[in-house]
Amino acid sequence: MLQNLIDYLSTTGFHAVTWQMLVMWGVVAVLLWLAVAKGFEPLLLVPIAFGALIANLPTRGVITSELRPDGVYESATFNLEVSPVHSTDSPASSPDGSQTLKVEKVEGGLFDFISQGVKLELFPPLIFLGVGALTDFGPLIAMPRTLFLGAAAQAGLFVTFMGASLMGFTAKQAAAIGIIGGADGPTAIFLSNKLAPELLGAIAVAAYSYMSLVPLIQPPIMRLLTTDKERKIRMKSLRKVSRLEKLIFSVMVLMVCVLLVPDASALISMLMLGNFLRECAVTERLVKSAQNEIINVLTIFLGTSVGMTMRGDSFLAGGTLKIILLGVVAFCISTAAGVLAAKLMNVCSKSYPINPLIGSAGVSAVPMAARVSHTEGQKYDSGNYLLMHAMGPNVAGVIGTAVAAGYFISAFAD
Amino acid sequence: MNNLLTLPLAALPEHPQLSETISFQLSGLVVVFLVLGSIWFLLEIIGKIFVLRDKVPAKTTTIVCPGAPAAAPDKATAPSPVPAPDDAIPAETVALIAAAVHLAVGSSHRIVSIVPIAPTPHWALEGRRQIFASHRPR
Repeated sequence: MLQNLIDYLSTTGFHAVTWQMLVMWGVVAVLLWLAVAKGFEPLLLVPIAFGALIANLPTRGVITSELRPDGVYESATFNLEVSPVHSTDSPASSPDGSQTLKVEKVEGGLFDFISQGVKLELFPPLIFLGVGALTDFGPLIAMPRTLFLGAAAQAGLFVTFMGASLMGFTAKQAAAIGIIGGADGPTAIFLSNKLAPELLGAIAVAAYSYMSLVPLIQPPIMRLLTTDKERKIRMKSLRKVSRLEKLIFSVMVLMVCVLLVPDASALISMLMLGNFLRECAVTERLVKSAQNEIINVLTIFLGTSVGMTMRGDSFLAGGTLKIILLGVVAFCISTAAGVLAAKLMNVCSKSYPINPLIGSAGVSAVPMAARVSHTEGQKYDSGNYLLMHAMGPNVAGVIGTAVAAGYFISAFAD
Repeated sequence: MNNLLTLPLAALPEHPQLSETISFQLSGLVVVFLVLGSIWFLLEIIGKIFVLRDKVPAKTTTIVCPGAPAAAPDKATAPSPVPAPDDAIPAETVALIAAAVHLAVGSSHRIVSIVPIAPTPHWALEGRRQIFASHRPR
């Protein structure tokens, strides 16, 4: 019996626990604390943290990771057992050398298959479908000037690209790191999976962590760059936008973006499809699915799949710390650029003043950044309601980040 | 088809020089501003069209309430009664307004006219103000 117990113990996972796993359990604990106790982006941080925990346990049948010759762990790989097809009708080899094979068996863990949604770049655009179905572009349509703020807030992406290049990252990796400044999780995952999949886990964690920390990161920058008088600026109320105008907007944005930046098509087309479904008012069932079931299911799969890439032996590297540092730099520059752009607009157009606090909402953390602008504004004038005005640059930032991602892809994708 | 549409951007080397990086990031910013600026321009045009379309002069309809007292109005102040046009306020709405006025000011009142006003954002603004005042956004 003793031998049986010893044999059983040898099959347990204790012997496979490494120090990197122990450290990652601590990282997971911090992420779960941020999400559960502090309520920071819990919908994404909980699945990511849980995925990271699973990735750092000696699991079986969940996910496969292989060490590539370049020292990078590649996860979510599965084995195909194939055999050549031999029949009189279809020869095994065709004259051009190609062979017909029959798949006998597919072997892999649960997340080897689910993670294909990230690897094949399916989840982020589908999440954009839900984002589009949830987003009201009315404030942006009523005040299109705020597109300028959304564009200016992308400055952080490009400045961080330079910083990452100078810190030794390759151009592709630098582009993937820079997108953190856009504060758009699905876009960050989409781009990093395309350009630098080895950094996916670190970039996703940095992006979502900073998005959740928007209420802490942005206000000091907003206060530093604005005067007391500017923070009290009351903006004119927004005009009512008709349904037809919103429908035209969806189609027009899709066409402009796809024509000018074709590589942003996957994200923009799904975003605008979701928004058109929402605004056309005749596809209620589809909108409800996009707003609830589709985005919720995909959020669980996306979060856990990303968390699964956070294996201790690849995540605990100097590069991760640099990414975390560069991410906050990107975020701060994007915030500052949005505020400064609003001040610039006030210099150019004095008849329609903009409260510079809404400039920080140009980073696309929807609607957290808009809420921060509103809350900050109310601290200085309790009767000033900036929320709807801030939603304009906020949703413009979503489009701007997708366009910037398209630019990076068009420059670097193989 | 995809190849025809892909932007012919100059690909950077794996580790670009500083000047190449600056040039690349400026190009990127120009692309972002170009795309969002184009959307801004088109939105301004579309917005102008819709605003002009909505600027239909508001109709002023003065009607006599079907249930109003038969007392002769003061000709100097009260508008002369006109027959209700076909697109007049429905009788049910008039009754509802009369009931609301009765509740608000009591029995000694006389509704002289019910005039639809041009749409203004004030009611929506007041509603929004009340909603915001009742919440505390994080």
